[in-house]
Amino acid sequence: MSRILVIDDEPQVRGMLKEILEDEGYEVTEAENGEVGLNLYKENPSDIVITDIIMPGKEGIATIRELKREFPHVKIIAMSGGGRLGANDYLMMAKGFGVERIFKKPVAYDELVTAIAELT
Amino acid sequence: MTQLFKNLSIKVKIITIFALVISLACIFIVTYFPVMQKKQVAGALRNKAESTLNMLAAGVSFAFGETDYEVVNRLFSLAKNDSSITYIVILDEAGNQQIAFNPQKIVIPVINSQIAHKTFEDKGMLHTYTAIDFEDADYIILIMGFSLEDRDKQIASIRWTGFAVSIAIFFVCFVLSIYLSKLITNPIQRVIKTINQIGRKGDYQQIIGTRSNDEVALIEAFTSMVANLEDAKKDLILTNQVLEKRAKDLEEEVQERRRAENEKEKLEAQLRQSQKMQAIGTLAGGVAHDFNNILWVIMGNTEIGLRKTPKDSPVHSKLQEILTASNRAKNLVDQILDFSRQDEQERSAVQIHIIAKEAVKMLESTLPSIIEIHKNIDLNCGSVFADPTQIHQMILNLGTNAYHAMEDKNGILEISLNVFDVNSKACESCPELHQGKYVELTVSDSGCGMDKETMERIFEPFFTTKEVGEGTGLGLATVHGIVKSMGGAIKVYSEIGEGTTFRIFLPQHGEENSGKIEKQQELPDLRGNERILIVDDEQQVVKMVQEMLEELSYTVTTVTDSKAALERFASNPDDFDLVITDQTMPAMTGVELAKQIIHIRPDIPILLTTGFSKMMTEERIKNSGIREFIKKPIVYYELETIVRKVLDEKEIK
Repeated sequence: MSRILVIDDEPQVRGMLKEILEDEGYEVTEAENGEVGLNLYKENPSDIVITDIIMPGKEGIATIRELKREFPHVKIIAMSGGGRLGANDYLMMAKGFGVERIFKKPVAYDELVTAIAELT
Repeated sequence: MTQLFKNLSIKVKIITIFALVISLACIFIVTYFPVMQKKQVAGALRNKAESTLNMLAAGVSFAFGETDYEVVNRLFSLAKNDSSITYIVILDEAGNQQIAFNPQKIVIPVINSQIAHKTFEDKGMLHTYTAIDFEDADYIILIMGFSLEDRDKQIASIRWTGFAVSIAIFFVCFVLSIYLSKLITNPIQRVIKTINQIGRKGDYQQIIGTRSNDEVALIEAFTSMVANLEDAKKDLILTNQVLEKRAKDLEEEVQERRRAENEKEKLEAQLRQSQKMQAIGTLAGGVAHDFNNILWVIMGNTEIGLRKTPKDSPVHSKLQEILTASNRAKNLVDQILDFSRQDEQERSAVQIHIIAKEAVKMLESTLPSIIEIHKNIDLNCGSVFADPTQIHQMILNLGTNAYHAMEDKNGILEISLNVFDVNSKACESCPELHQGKYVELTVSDSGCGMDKETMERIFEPFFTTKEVGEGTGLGLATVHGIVKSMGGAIKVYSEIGEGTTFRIFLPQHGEENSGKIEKQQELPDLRGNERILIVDDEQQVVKMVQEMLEELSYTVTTVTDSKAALERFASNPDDFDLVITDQTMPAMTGVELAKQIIHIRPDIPILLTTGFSKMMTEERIKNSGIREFIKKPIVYYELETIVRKVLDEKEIK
């Protein structure tokens, strides 16, 4: 059973994702920001990391950079609803750091599930 | 004669008068003076003759009394000493010569004893005679002759002297008169010369410096007057210059103020717009993050719910409703974000026809089939410097709007793309367009159209005519923003019940549309003096077209009613060289009007202005006899060019 680490500051989003992914048969670990996420990954690396970009504490781009530097084989899905810049801008940045998939929030159920299936 | 005299110069006049007066004086001297002298000389001779006669008579009387004739001879010889005495004769009663000295045959007119001495002239002599009485009643007559030679010589010499003197006087006076006339006329002539110089050439520097204390001091007065005039003129010029400068300054000030006011209005409008945009941007940026999360939570959970409830359950359909609404919310947020981030797009040279084709394909697949889509895309219209997604979005927005305008009925959506060449430095009516090549995108629908109030507000953000919740009011604002940011122009024309046309001009990539003339190509001369009849029910359009054509020196007649236009044309068909008519007019359409006009005068060229070319197929245009049609919204440069072209074609024919 593949394991997925979900990093998002919004508990409701995490909860919803957890339910979706568990319904689809994945094991889900949650983190409320990048730092927590990184620590959790170091302790117990997951198969896929799904991370938001704008978060208090350590934000997504820095998290992605560190993860990719320390664990070059990590598979990451980046998501953003945008902020000062458009979601696309953040996601293009993330793509620049080598993330596998990018999604603009809100993400359609099927699209997300398909992407994860392809990565595992 | 008087006329002749009037025409003479003052100089000649003076000389003439002088000559006349002197001549009279001379004639008087030559004639009267010798006559007087002659009288005097003659008188003197007579007196001498008479006294000599008396003296001799006394002697003779005595001698005869004494009969001493020797005395008589002595008296005679005494008398002979006087050379002037030519003869002396003594006659008796019978008239026989008794004693004579140098006797002459003299006939005495009257001879009797009573005559005293008498004198008469005859045969160049002065004859004097007297009867000498004796007591015995006898008498003799003594006759003496005096030569007139001396006297006549004297008179002749007097006459000659008089003549010579008068000639001398005449010449002296003549010379004097010339000098005098010169004295008077020369300064006058100088004055005249000066006046002429001032009057004809405006040369105030020519001031004559004559100094004189006589009446001709006029010249000094004149000189000072000229100097004063010169000063006055200088003052006037100076004042005029000051006034002109002041007027210019004032005008500039007024224009500056007007410009400033316009600028202020423009800036205020821009500020309002940018404040709105900023507000939207801030809102979008700040809210997007949270909003998208919230939306996702709703959508995600709804989808989980949908999967966990049976499809026939009433909850399932409710969840489906939530998902649909959420999707709309998602689109709305996307649009707001797109709108607020127009300027942050990546631009590159874009083959616009490819994107246009894609966008049209997308419209074809999304719009219901009752909407007929006509596309007319020029594959060689070049590229524009743009963000491809923006172009795509622009066409989709315009297409969607067109569809919404035609929702209730079948309709035609026409999308065309072609090259628009601006061959003029700048279009007065459309200052956004400069000389150079543009790609023109036209999106035209046969929908419900819109009124003026609506048309004025369509590009405002959040302005919408759609039901609440159906439109964001950002579609056209976004289009407007994109076009402006690309340095293009957008024009709109709409007719209620007929449809709406958008014409978008985007600068072709690689073209310097900065108003610079790169190649020194000759700009076509669009001016003309032909007479043009303009028919359009919209007063504003008529006025603008009129002003524009009059600027090009055409003679323009305007009519806002098609029937009145027909009457006007019918009353004098040769009053016009060209008719420009709108298609959509109450009472009679442009095509109908054109047919009637051509019926009256088959050779008259007619231009039709229409926003909906789809209604004007080539065939219909040919059938109605219309030469060309001009797309609405009118780009004046295009109108000017087509007007000239049609009129020139007519001339060739």
